Amino acid sequence: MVKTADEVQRDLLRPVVETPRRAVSAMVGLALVVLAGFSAWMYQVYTGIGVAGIDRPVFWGFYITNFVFWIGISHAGTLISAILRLSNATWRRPITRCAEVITVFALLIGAMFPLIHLGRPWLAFWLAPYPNQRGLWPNYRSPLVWDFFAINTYLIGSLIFLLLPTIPDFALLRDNLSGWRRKFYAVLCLGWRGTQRQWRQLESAMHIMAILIIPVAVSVHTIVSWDFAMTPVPMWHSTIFAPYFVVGAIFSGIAALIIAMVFLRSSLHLEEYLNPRCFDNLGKLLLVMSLLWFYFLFAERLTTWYGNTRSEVAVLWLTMRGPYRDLFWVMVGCNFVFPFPLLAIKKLRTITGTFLASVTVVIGMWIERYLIIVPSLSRKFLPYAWGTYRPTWVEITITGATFCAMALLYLLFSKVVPVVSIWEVKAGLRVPSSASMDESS
Amino acid sequence: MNSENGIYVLCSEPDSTEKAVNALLSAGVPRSEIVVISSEPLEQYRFVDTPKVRMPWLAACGAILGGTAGFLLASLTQKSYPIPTGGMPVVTLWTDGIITYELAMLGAIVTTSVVFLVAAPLLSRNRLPYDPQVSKGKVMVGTNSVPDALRNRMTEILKAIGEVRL
Amino acid sequence: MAVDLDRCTGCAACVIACQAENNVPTVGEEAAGKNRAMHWIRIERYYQGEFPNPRVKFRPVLCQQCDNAPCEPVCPTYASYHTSEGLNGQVYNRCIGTRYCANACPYTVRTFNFFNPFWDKPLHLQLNPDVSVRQVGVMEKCTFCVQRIKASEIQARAENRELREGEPTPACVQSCAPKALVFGDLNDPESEVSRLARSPRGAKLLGELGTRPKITYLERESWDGQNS
Repeated sequence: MVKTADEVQRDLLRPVVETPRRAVSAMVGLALVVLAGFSAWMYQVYTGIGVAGIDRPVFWGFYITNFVFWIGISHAGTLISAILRLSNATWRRPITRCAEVITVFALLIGAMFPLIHLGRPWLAFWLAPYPNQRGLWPNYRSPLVWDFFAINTYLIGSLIFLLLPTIPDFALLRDNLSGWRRKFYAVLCLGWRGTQRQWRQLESAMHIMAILIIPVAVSVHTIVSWDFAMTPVPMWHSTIFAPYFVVGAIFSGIAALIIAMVFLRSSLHLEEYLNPRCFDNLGKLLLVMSLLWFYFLFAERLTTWYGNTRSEVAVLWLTMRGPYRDLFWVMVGCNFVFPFPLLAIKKLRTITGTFLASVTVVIGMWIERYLIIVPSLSRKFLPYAWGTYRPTWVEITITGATFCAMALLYLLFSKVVPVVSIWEVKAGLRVPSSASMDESS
Repeated sequence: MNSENGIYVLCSEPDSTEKAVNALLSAGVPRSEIVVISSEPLEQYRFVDTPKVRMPWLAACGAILGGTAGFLLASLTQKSYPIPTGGMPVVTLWTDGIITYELAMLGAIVTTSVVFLVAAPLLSRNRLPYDPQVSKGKVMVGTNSVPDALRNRMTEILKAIGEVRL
Repeated sequence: MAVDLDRCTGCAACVIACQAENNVPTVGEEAAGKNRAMHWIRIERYYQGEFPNPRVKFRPVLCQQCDNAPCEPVCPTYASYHTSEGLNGQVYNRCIGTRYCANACPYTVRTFNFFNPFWDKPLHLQLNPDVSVRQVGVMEKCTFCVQRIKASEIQARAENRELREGEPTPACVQSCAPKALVFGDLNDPESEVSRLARSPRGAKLLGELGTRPKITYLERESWDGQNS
């Protein structure tokens, strides 16, 4: 059913204008869990980082797993928005903003974790290069300092990438609402009128941003992977980490996007906009990333096994035959075996099918980050120093709270900004997928 | 440019938009003075010539600036701080290269947004005319300065096309 | 430093001496069970052969003060750095507790203050005033008793002479009864430690990793033919 521009506008403005009670209770519930997580973190800062389960030699555990996981999720927006914009794929129109929002919020949440995992978090600002009297200066050789710069650049870039195309929608909201909201959006839209010149500049800016944000995103997760690859730890010191992590990030990002779209679809009644065609295409992308991910996993493990270096093979078997084997095979199942039929067979590549595949992919990718970090640290070179890791309630609470924080932020965002880009969808009505311009809507 | 002197018409279809633009052109209004305001980018129509802003070149300049800043930050500051390294190199090009790259991209991104804000223009003092009907899908075509002699004739022509706003 | 594994009896006097000299905290039974013990030097104990005749081998492992230390480039605040004398220094004040250095160290010799250290009274009276007490969230490790090295250097400069053989002496070396631990100036080719470093019995721990550690382990025969 093809809609008119007016109907499109009404549908997409509705989530901003109306707030059903269900949404409010959901927000309250999520906020409570987030509060619990925050309290757990404050308890940790007050008592000492020892309340987390880390020990010697597994000095990094859940928090760094979460850090890598959320930064990985943040690659959703870049791929969908930027690459699909550049390739002029018309089915991207309803989903670009959903994706860009995921990027920004996942980055914000991910960037919290380096703070949370620090032993002395109140001194985290020492990572910033500021002039001081104490002889402090960040060490530019350290991948953590590269992280600082890369994540900041990506965050600023994604925020701009999100907000630039939102300006015309803010203008729409200014015109259609009244009272304090009207003034709020009038400020936010920065005086947008919609002149041809403004539209040209906006499209030019978006084009350049799309070109710029892709290498930034690739560099961010490459640098995160180098947090591990720049150490001599067995099975970390691998050159494959950079592309492996980028592929894994895009993989988990698309899955997270699909999950977010399913929830938005049902709760905001956006069925006609987030339609099965979007899910079909995203499902195909997810399948490609799943195959790519499996390729990298296989390549890394085969090389390690074939090389037969004692310390590396110890970690390899620890993961595949030792105490971590259950997690390992669950991960392979979640990331590859289970989604493969769901995504490859056209009949199964429905909204439900892609949703189920995405949920398992998100779980599997979290496990993958965990299995990269913990087994390698627990079996380093000297057997006397081997150890284990078990998370505590503090780490589990904070992990759960971040998932709720993501949902909460998303919900709040959908109340302030239309989560489907109105002007893009309207423009898409006028120019359907073939380039001819006179097909009537 | 004061909008008291302006004349605008609200068109509801792209065809009438083209008619309005042509009417204004034939009345002698120069193309650069015609303003077309819409709630969606009318990509397939080229109503007015917009001046070319060399945004990609400016973004590239921003990248060079940012990259230089990054490299100087990493190398100069490390050289000037008394950091004991026991013989290890103080300025390492590979790692400083990463900082340079990130700040170069940041420079390009920030430059692009600043150029956009300035060139669009957004946040401008000029009170451009506007009608909320635009957000309902109408396109507003007009010009800000109309010679008085032609004013009435143009009002008549434009009334035939759509609602006129003065 | 040189460690003669053929002399080491595994008595662990070096562990206690180090703990006393450097204010290394005891973490308590529960934390030790969670692998959070903070010994700067540890005696690794390996069994070779089966009951009833196993051979027990002891290896004291402490910070190897690597020339190509993997822990140094990765610290974001430069808390782990290379001094001009060739030691791997740890600046407690700069450490924000990312624990990256501990992950990068292949010998796992770095220890971390998971909580604020405590000394039940009257044990607080035994703290060494020459060494600081570290806060929660700070990484620490063997410094080759840098406070003793500095004290000896100051003394030698005051007396207008060079450092003698046998001074300074880290606490572990001082307490080693069988004289398995030997400390000295590797730059001086005539010192005992240089002589031992050139010994055919000598090998570096995990030398194949390229960390270029300063400690030479001496033993008549290698363990199981696998440590180079």
